[in-house]
Amino acid sequence: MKWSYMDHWRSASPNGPIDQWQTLDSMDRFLKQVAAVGYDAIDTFDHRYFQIMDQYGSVSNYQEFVQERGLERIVNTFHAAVYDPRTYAPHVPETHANILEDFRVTMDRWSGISLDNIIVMPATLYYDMEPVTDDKIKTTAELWNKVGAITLDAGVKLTCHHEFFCGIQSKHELDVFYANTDPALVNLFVDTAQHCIATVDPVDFYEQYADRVTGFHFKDTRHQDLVGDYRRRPDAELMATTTPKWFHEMGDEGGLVDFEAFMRAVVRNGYEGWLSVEHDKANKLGGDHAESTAIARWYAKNVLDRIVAEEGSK
Amino acid sequence: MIEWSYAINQWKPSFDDFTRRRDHERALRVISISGFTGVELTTGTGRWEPLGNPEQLAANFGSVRGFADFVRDAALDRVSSWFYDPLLGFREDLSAPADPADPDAHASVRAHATWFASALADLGGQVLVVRPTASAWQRPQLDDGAIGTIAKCWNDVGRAIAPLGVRLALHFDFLSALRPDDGLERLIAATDTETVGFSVDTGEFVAAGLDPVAFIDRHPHRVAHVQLKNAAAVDDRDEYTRRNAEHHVRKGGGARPVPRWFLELGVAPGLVDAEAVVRALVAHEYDGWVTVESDLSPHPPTSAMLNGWYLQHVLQSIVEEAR
Amino acid sequence: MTAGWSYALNQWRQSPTSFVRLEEHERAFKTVSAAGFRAVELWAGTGRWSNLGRPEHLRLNYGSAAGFLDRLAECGIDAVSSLTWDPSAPAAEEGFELRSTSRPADHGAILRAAETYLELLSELGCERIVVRATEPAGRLGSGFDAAAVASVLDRLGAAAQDHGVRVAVDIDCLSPPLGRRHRAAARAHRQRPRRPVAQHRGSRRGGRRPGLGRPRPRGPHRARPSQGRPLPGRGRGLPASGCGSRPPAGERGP
Repeated sequence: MKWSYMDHWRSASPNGPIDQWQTLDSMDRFLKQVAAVGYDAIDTFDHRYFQIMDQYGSVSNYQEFVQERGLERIVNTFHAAVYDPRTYAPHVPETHANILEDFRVTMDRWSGISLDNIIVMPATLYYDMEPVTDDKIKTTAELWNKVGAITLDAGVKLTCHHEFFCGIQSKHELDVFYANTDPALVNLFVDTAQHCIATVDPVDFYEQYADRVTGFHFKDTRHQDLVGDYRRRPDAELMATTTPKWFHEMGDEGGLVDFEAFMRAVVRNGYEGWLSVEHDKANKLGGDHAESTAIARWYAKNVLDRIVAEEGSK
Repeated sequence: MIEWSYAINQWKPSFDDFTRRRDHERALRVISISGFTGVELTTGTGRWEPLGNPEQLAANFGSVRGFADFVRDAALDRVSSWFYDPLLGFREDLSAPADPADPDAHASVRAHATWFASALADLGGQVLVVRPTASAWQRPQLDDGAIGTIAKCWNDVGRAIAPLGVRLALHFDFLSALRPDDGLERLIAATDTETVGFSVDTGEFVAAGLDPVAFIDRHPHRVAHVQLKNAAAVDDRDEYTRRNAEHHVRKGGGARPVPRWFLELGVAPGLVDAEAVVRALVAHEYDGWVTVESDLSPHPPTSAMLNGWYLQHVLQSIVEEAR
Repeated sequence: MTAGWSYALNQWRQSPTSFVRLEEHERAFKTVSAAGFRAVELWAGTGRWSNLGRPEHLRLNYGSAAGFLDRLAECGIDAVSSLTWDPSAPAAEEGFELRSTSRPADHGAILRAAETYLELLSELGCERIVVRATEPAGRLGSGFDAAAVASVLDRLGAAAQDHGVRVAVDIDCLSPPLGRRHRAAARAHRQRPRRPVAQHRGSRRGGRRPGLGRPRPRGPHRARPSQGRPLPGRGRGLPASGCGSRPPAGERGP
């Protein structure tokens, strides 16, 4: 099993908190910390393209910078689109041409390196898609079938990551979506915390769709959304009523995700691919990205590796 | 063989920090996953120092061995060493600060050193690292008589803890009263070569204007412990003689001021050549712990992780090449 | 008008995910008030995490502009002094257009975007919009059209005046240096009849802002009168950690 670390990072600077993209030095320190605790690679956001071109000259130059610090490569990129029902919304057919063109451009920009997946949130914010109907989900599925063909043509799998606040997040919505997408073109990326928050058991869900899964975000939460935060305007992720901090690193105390059961399911289903760790917004409530990244990797090495060995020997 | 540990002192910047079990567990896990196998403790006193002395370990972990289990649960092999400054008193036994330059304090120093060494043996540790005397502003002149008194104190301690399987390592720092008039070399000459070793703290040596590699080459058989850290500046204005230099110079940065005296290994504009230090240790077949330290770090997890990267990607290959 | 002291809230916005929750706003307002300031300066932003920087999100979170003023008043703040806006900053709500004040073709879009803010400022009783003159010199290049910049700033000034708001032009350390040629072009443009545009060189310099009326009174700080308030028909303030649009509860069982 190889582990990759997903992009999120804040560190202190004389000018306040910065992310790793601020300077070459801050990127150097980020990558060394990730490598030091045993991650093998990183994932990133493809909107970083502009900073990459500005600071490194090309995507492949940036990947070389990553490799020089002891990491294998960039495994996945997350396509964090800014959805808007007027211009860019998977359930609005009139916007599909824009979206398809965006993916043609994106795949061209990243063609200098070999990626496993391009990850998308497959629906708009929940409130922008309400009422969420089966027809809207089917329209959404049609779009992603077309996008999947574009990305696959570029050698990259399209995979869907369902934030708890997006328009396809309940079990019914998920089932309708996957029933209407082509398994050859549209894959699933299981974020353990997001499904848990949305009251979808991540282990059961993974088991049901294991043959469509092309990656994971191993991430924990201490809360489920029981009050409808998922449809909160203008924001559910940072402004929720339930908690100011939805996400915690794997291995922290009080988490709701059963990672041991999840890892057993991953091994049982013969998954072969990268495992990604994510803990976005780990710095909320006094948290610290560097420490969380180390704690999550400690848990993977000292707890999950044992699970893998046990399950693999059965 | 060189074993690598990490000093826990950076996680406790002030008296009311780093008291909860969760903090300890996370710090130990960060050390472990960053590639180190041991942890070095620092002495302390009172209920907000759960890792400060054997009594507090027992109060918080059931027993000293209970703490050893806690360390192993974090995937570390053991406690490598314990840093003891006799000029700190202990509330646990109402003992006053004990100055090794004062013959009347020797019994207290020996008793406390033995207390820590016994616990260290239970923890699997091998080195008691001690501050040999006061700061220079406290004892501006150490004549040969005073050096002899200090040497006698540590000779006694060395003999007392040797049967426990624990080595004594005298730790020189850049504020030390041993800094003027070649005090360090005079103390080396005055102490027992068999039972009294020294700790080479690379950052402290360089901040004091000394060359740690030259010291290792000169006294290879007296090196009982190494604290490896980078230095950002040299105290070339003799600010160590300033009253309360611990506050004004070490933490406050002195008149310049120096923002950080100590940096992570391999980081510019560091002055310590860590690769040369390790090459010297390897050349002299040093067998013991190298404790990487980043005291006064503004960001302990990051310091441990960056030092872990440097260990794994630079220093370990030097050791492996020599095998 | 009476000169007064205000504090810019932008320092609390240290990253895209910070200073989003209403309780964080509340603590900042109280801190500003406790430090002796009675007014705050907002800054324009984009996206759902910029909920003091987008008029629609500010209204949504506080019920209305009046609700926001109530919240400020509860925290000891009398007024919104100003709002800073960079017309060249792309905003998701405006399709991420990369606009330039030096490009006449962009002026229509800039004026449309400004209107959203001017309406809010009018509702808030805020009399200043601080407008960044151009994008940074590094993006602009040396041959920019200073007359075009002056032209759109004048039109912004006129539009603002219709809302009871004055434009203060902001020049910062990344702004392009104005060479002799640029100054001449801008002067030529300024020959035409126009409405006044103030120049704002940043409150952090502490100097008198040219064109902003009479000098500040010396001596102890004086609270700025809460001009423009109260507004008719506004509701009560919201509870400390409340939000303007709470979703219905209990729709998702365990």
